[in-house]
Amino acid sequence: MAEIDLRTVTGGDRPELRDVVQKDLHEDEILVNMGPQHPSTHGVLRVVLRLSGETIVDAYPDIGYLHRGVEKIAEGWTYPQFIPMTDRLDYVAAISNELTYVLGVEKLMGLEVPPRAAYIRVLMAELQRVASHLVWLGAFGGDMGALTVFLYCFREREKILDLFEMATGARLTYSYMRIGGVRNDLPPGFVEKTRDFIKLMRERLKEYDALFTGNRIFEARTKGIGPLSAEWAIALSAAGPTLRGSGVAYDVRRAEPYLVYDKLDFEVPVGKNGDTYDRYICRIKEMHESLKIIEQCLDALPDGEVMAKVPKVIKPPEGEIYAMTEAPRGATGVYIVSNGTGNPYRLHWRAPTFANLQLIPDTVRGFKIADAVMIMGSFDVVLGEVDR
Amino acid sequence: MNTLEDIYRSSVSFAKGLGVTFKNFLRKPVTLQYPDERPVLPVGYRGIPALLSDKETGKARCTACGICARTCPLGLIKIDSVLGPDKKRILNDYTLEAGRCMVCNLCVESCPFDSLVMANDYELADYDPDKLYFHKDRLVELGRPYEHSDPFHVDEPKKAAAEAKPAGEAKPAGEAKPGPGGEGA
Ligand code: SF4
Ligand code: SF4
Repeated sequence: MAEIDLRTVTGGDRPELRDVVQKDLHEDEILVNMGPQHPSTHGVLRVVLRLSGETIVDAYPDIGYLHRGVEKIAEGWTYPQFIPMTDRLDYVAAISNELTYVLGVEKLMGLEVPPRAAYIRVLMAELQRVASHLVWLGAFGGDMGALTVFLYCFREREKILDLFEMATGARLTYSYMRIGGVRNDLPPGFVEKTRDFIKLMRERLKEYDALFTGNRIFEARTKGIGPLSAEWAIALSAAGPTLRGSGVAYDVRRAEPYLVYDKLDFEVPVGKNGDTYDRYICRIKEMHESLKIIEQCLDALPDGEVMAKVPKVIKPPEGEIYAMTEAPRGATGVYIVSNGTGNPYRLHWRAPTFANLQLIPDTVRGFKIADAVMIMGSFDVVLGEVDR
Repeated sequence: MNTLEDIYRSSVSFAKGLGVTFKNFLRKPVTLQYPDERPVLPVGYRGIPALLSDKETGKARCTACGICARTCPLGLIKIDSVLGPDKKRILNDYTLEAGRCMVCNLCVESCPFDSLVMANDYELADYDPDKLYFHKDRLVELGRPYEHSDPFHVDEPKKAAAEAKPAGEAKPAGEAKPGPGGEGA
C-alpha cells in the first residue's frame, strides 16, 4: 500500500467503496463518515460525504450493517413461520409488511379472505400508517432540533400502540395477519376506543400544524431543500410520500386496489416542488386521509368470520407471484416462487426505502451538512427493510 | 416592506408554536412511573408461552405430541417424553428457550389440545443464562391463572345462544367474555 493519506477513508473499507470515494479527491475536499452510528441516520446507515468546506460535493451511501439474510431464511421456513419474520423488516410498520406477505401467499394459493378480515386488515394497516408517520414526524423534528415535537408524536403513537396491543397482544412485532385472514377478531371495546382516538388525533394534528406548517424557521429549513424532480423520482423507482411529494400521484391503493380499498373514499395527496417541505405536507395529509379510511372501515365493518378455510399444511401450487401493497413508506412488494412444497423456493422483498435511499446522493449534492440531515430524514429510511 | 412582512409572519408563527407548547405544559403528564406504577395489560397480552394445566389434577395438559416444537420457527421447544404402558406418551420435561423466544404465538395456535397459552408475565430477565431455559414446572406455574389458549374465548353454549339471539344485532365480537388473567403479572 502506498503512503496513507490522513484526509481520506483508510483502514478496512472494501476496495470498491474506497476507490470510488477517493477518486479524484481534490486537495480542498475532505471525506467524512456520517454514520453508521449517527443519530440522524435513523439506524445503521453510513453515508460517506465528500465535503468542500461545509458544502456537500458528493455522498456515497453504504448499507448492509443490518443484514440478516431474511430472504434466505424464508427458504428454510414454512409459509406461516415466515410471518413473524416480516415484522422485523420494516419494524416501524410491521403490520404493513405482514399484509404484503400474506397477500402474496394468498394470491399464490388463490385464497379469498372473508370480508370482515379484509376490513380489519385495512383498518390495522391504516392505523399503522398513522403510527409510522408519527414516528417520522417526531424524528424529523428531532433532526431539525425541535425535540418537543418528538415527545408529542410519541405520546400519540403510544395510543395507537395501545390499540394494537389490545387487538394483537404485542406493541411492535404483532404477528397478527395469517394466511387466510387475521389471527383473532377485534376485542370488545376496540371500535369505541378507535373512534375516540380518531377524534383526539384530529385535534392533535392541528397542533402539529400550528407548530410546523407556516413556521418561519421550519420553512427556511425545508422549502427548496433537496428538490427531486418527478422524472428522476420515477427513473429511480422512488416510492411512497417521497414519490408523491414530487407530484407523481401513484399510490398502490389506487393504482392496483387490494382488499377493500376500491370501496373506500380517500384522496392521494401530492406535492408540487418535490422538496423536503412537500414530502412533509404529503405525510401530514396522508395521516388525515388514513383517519378518514379508518372511520369508514369502522362504519362498514361487516360481521362474520375472520379466517378463511385454510388447509392445515400450507402448500401453494407451483408458480410465482408478485404482490404489492402501499406501506407507509411506499410500494412494498413480495415476490414468491413456489415449487409446490411447504417452503418458499425463493422469496424476494421489494423495500421502498431501498429505492428511496438511492436518491440521497442526487438530492444532497450542493447543500450543507445540516440540510443533508433533513433531506435524509425526509426520505424516512428504515434500515431493517433496506438491509433485510 | 418585505422585511416587515417577514418579521410579522415570524412573530405570528412563533406565538402560535409557543401557544401549543403552553397548552401542553398545562396538560397532565402521561409518563407512567414504571417500577412503582404498572401498566394495565389488555386481555390477550403476549408475554411468554406457558403450559396450561388440568384444573383438577394440576398436571400439564400437554400430550407430548410435538406439534408445537415443529411449528416454532426458531425451534426453541424441546419435548422429553416416554411411551407409557397404555401406548400414550407421558411428558417428562418440556423446555422452552425463553431467552430467544420472539413471542410470536405460533406455537400456541398450533397446539391441537389447547394446552399452551400466552402468559402475561414480562419481567423474566435473569442474571444466569441457564435459567432462561424454562422447564416444565416453571411453565406450568406461569400458565396456572389461565384456562384457555384463546384469550377471547367464548364458551360454546354461550356462543350458540348469542348467535341464536337476534341476528340483526351487529356485534357478535362485542359480547366476548374477557379471558382469564386480564390484570397482568
Ligand atoms: S412464541 Fe414463537 S418463538 Fe416463542 S416458542 Fe412459540 S413459536 Fe417459538
Ligand atoms: S402441541 Fe400442545 S400437546 Fe402437543 S406437545 Fe405442544 S403443548 Fe403439548
